[in-house]
Order: sequence, then C-alpha cells, then structure tokens
Amino acid sequence: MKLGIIGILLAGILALIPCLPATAQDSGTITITMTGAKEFSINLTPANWSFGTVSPNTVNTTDLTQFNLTVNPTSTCAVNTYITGENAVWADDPGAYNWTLSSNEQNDIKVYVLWFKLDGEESYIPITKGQTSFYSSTLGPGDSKQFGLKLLTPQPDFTEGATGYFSVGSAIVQTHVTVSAVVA
Amino acid sequence: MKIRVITILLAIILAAIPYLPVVAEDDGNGTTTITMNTEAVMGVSLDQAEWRVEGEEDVSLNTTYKTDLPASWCTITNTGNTNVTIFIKGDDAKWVSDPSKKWTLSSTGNNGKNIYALWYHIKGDTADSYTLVSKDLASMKWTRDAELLNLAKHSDTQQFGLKLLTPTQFIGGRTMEAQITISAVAA
Repeated sequence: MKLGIIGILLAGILALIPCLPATAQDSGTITITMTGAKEFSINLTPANWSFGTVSPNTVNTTDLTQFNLTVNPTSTCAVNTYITGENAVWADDPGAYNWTLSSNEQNDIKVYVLWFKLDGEESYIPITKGQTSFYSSTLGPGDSKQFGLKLLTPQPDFTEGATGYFSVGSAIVQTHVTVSAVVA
Repeated sequence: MKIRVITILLAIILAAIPYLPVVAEDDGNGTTTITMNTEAVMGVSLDQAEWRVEGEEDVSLNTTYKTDLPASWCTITNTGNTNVTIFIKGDDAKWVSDPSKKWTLSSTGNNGKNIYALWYHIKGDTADSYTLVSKDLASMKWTRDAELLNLAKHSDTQQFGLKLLTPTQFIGGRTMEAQITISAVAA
C-alpha cells in the first residue's frame, strides 16, 4: 500500500519536472547605472617665452598667435578658463630684486603690467595676480584658443646720462602666466 | 546599535566613492614661463678721493697707520647695474717734487729702506684681518672665506679701510704721493 502511494507521488513529481523551467523563465530586469566622470586636461604652449632685452617703461608685445591653449580632445566635459600672473623676479636671486605685477594697468618703479589678447578679439585684458576670465564662454574637448601678451616694463630704477636702467643689468627677470580650467 | 551606526557610515562612504575622482580631476592648468633680459651699464664710485695719513703732521719711520675708520673709511658704490667684482691696485709713492724719487710698494708686506706696505680691510671681515695691496691688479677678497668682493646690483655698497706701514728708512721732509686704483669688472 505504502509502495503504491510512493509510486504515485514519484510519478506526479516526474510529470511536473518538464513544467519547472517554464515557471523559472519569468523575466527579471537588472538596471545598471553609471555616471561618467568629468575629466579633462589642458595644454598651454609654448612652455617658455622670452621678450629678449627690454628697456624701462616700454611696451613689448608678442604675436597674437604666440600662445595656444587647448582642451585636450580626450577630455569629457566643457571647462571655464581663467588666467593669472605673478610678480617677476630676478632669476639669479629672487629675493633680492623683483617687479610687482600691477593691479591697475599702471606701471611704476619696480611695478610692471601684463595684458593678454585672444586672437580675433578687440582689446587687451589685464592679467593680475587674481583670476581673470580667459575666455568668456566655455571650451569643449578639442577646442583651442590662441593669444598674445603685452608687457609694459617698470619705470627705470635709475638714470645714467639720459638713459634709464633697472637695478640689475644683464639679468634675467622671470615670471609665469598660468591658465587654469574648471569644469563648466 | 553600534553595528547599525557603523553600517550607515560605511554606506555613506561607499556611496561617496564614485564622486571622489570627479572632484579630484575637475581642474587643471598650464603655465608659461616668461623671461625678460635687462640692459647693462657698469660703474662704481668711491666716496673718498684722498687719505692724508697724518693730516698735516709728518709720518714716522717704520710706523703703522690706519684710516680713521679702519673698516668703513671708504664706500664703494655700484653706480651701474652690472654684477661686478672689485679689483684693487696700488703704486709706488712718488715725491711730488721729483716723481723719480720713490718709496716702492712692498710685494711681501715687509717694509725696508724706501719700501712701504699697504693693506685693506673690508667691513664685516674677520676683525683686524688685512689683505696686502700690490702693484698688480688683484680682486678684493674677504679673508674669512676668500670670497670675491662683488656688488651685484645698482646702489649696492661695500666699505673698506686702509693700513700703511712706512719705510724703515727714508729722507724726511719730502711729501710722497701714491695712488690706489679701485676698478670694477663684470662678474
């Protein structure tokens, strides 16, 4: 009798087996979400530029295509750009002699002025030690902007005859211009 | 309860991790170094033109005299803007009435008959240290470290004093005159 019942149950189970996969095939969905990182890099060239020998209280300019800023094509976002300058220092002894970067476009003794101008733009914009907007709009991957610099040297430290001179002669005075970018 | 708090903190940290790279990489910059060269002019000046060793008095034989300010009697000023090394050169002392009659400037520091010696001391150098002045042009040096005396830029100054040892023998009554030349050479 018992064997009979077990046999019927087994037969029932075996009969159901083909139906089980059909029950498990109810669809299931997995949602995968990812946020692409906003990564970028910029490239400013050339890394070095010399105005050559400069006299006191004189304006010196570069070509408007002398410098080039590029947002590297592999970047993943648009950026806002800014430009800053620094005091200029005597390369041999930075603590002994330097020129302060003007904040008001006026030169003075030991105060110099620096401007930049984007190629195709109307006017020069002063560069200060604070951040100044470099390009009024955003720059995307692969975008580039060419620009030039204008330098007004300080007034002379002393005059010999009718000629003005800086306190250090045959000297290299050095500064840095930095263009920075942030995610737009 | 503690486990629950730690779990919540971990959850917040793990949730923040995907954003960290974004925050870390959302700026960049490029820098150009700008250089300017300056024009050079060279010159030095001295604020003393004469040392009357004993004023209106006569000097004695074999006697040492120092300028009244032993270290700061004369100021050398860089009137140009070139980094210069200072050189010094002495000369025989000549009788003003007959320049052929001389006291020879010693090349050893020893005096003798009609031989006198001359030294300088730079302000700030080792106390009472003196360097011999000879007839050959020589760079002025600090005795403390043998460094050259340089004036790097416009208006830089340095001071020095002189010491003189008279001959062991000379003919009295003659006014003797010697010249010291201080010159600058681009460093």
